[in-house]
Amino acid sequence: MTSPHTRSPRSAPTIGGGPLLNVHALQVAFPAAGGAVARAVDGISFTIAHGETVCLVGESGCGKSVTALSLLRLVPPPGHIVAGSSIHFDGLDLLTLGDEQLRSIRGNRMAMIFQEPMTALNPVLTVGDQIAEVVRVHTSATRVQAWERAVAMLGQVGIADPATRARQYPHELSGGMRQRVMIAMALVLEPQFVIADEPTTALDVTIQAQILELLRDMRARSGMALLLITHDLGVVAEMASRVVVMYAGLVVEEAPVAALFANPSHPYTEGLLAAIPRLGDTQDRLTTIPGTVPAPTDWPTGCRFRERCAYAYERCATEAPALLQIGSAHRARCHLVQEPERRVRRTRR
Amino acid sequence: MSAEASSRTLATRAPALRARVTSRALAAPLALLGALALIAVAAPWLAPQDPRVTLDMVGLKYHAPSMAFPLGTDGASRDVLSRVLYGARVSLSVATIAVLVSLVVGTCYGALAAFAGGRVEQMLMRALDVALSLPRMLVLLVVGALWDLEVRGLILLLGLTGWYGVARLVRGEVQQQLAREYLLAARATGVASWRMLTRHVLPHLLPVLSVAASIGVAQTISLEAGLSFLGFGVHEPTASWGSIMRDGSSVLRSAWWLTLFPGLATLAAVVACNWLGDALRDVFASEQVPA
Repeated sequence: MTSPHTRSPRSAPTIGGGPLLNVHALQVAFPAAGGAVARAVDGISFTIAHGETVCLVGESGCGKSVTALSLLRLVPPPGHIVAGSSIHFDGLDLLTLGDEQLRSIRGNRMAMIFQEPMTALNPVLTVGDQIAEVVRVHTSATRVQAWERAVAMLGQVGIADPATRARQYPHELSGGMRQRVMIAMALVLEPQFVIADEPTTALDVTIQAQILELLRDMRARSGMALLLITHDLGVVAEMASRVVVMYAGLVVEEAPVAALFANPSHPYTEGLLAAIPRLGDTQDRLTTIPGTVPAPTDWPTGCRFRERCAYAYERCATEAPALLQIGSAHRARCHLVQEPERRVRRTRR
Repeated sequence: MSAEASSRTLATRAPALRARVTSRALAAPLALLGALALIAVAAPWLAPQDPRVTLDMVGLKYHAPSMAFPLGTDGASRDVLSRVLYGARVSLSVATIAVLVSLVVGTCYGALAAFAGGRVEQMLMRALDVALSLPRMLVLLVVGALWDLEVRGLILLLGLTGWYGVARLVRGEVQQQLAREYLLAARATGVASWRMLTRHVLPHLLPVLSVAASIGVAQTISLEAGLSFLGFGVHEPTASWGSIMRDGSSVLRSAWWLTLFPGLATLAAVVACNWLGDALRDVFASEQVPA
């Protein structure tokens, strides 16, 4: 079941004992038209240990990217993190830090790899400049030292002839190379924690594998923790030690990767797994989860997934399920955990 | 290879500028402007006479163009060729420096407004609307009439009344850039706002600013000429193209050379700048990154 690449979580270097990242009851709201409020992230909690790789999974519009941006306090205004949320990073309360302290963390101790390197790199600066800038902003390195470090980093992320490539502009590089540049930019200062927001979505399939391989290597080399946001469960199987599944702004299931694939407990997770096309499938149509994510301005009452759920029954409409414990590290937000006998497919309307 | 070819269509603006400076579209206006600038710089060597010296008040007053005085002389028997050559220095430098002033002020104002956002931006932009509602020429005339402007004062006056359009342009452009992901990515690496503006955003403004600058210089050259012609700008004994024309305005029929030659020089400079602005716009438009 587990992919041969899945590794046991690295023995965490114990600094203060606690997790590296502790997100508790995180809520992010965006004012919407007509005075409505879109609660894109609606009270999610999770932790990431030192050196751990956690995958955040869910379809478009369920709040994955907003979660990632809020970890760096970069939620685009007028969106904001709602009071009562808390994000602790290596003992620091990120939500109370001043701008100066926040900047000293961004790019230095916590970095982000964006989905689309073409738009996330500045088209008018050379890639070497952009990597060297991170070094210059956070260290006392001279221009020359920073440049040398940028070139060395480009070499480390597998770019041939890094000295020449460093002097080129993003549009002169291929998509895969640009993503390598993004990774070099994120990792040049060896951050403890890296967020990668669908880092392979914009790339060709063959390049995707190379980029994942690179991320895995870099993670193994530096011992950084990685939060990998994806909607590709193939990527999850390759990379994660633990998985957090999000739906409609909530965590609906959280489990070690093996447990999740062996025993998906939330119907949404089950649907995601069923939707992976398999070699040798004889059916003509691909399996899908019917419907779409509800609008964040108007989350349904009760269970937010019930409209699309094959097992939904009366209780789901009236009572919002809590995140219920299944195994020691496995939890799901579904009444079926308490009433497994209800796991009976109803006929679709 | 094919990836490289397809990415070339995405060629971005600023790096492309370097390659295109020599392109044919820009060559002609740049050559014309270069020639004018060269004349201004080399005026002391090119001018046959001292432009301020009265040669012979009795014999050489309003002397028509001849071999000795190719562009004739003026009412104070000064050599018009020398005055036009030296006038180029004043006219061109006043316009250029004034436009630099307005570019700096306008860029700061516009970028500040865009970065501040919200109510501050609204206030700054409304203040700009008020400033824009005042006819520029009127402001120039009133200030010129109230104070005796030296060259420096004239530069400041022209510069400080010329930045409103630049500010609007820059604000719009910066706003557009602020929405782009690379700035979010830069913030995610801990880059501070000021550095973000100077290192990341300003290079993107280069195309619009260079177009605005060349068209601004064209406007300012004619404004300066107009002000000096009306007697509110550069005046005796300093010569600018406008002030030479003023000297000839009362004797337009008899001493036409006094107005014609500085007029032609002004025309050439204005045409060259506008031409350059148009050519730059064309170059940048053809290099535009598809959104």
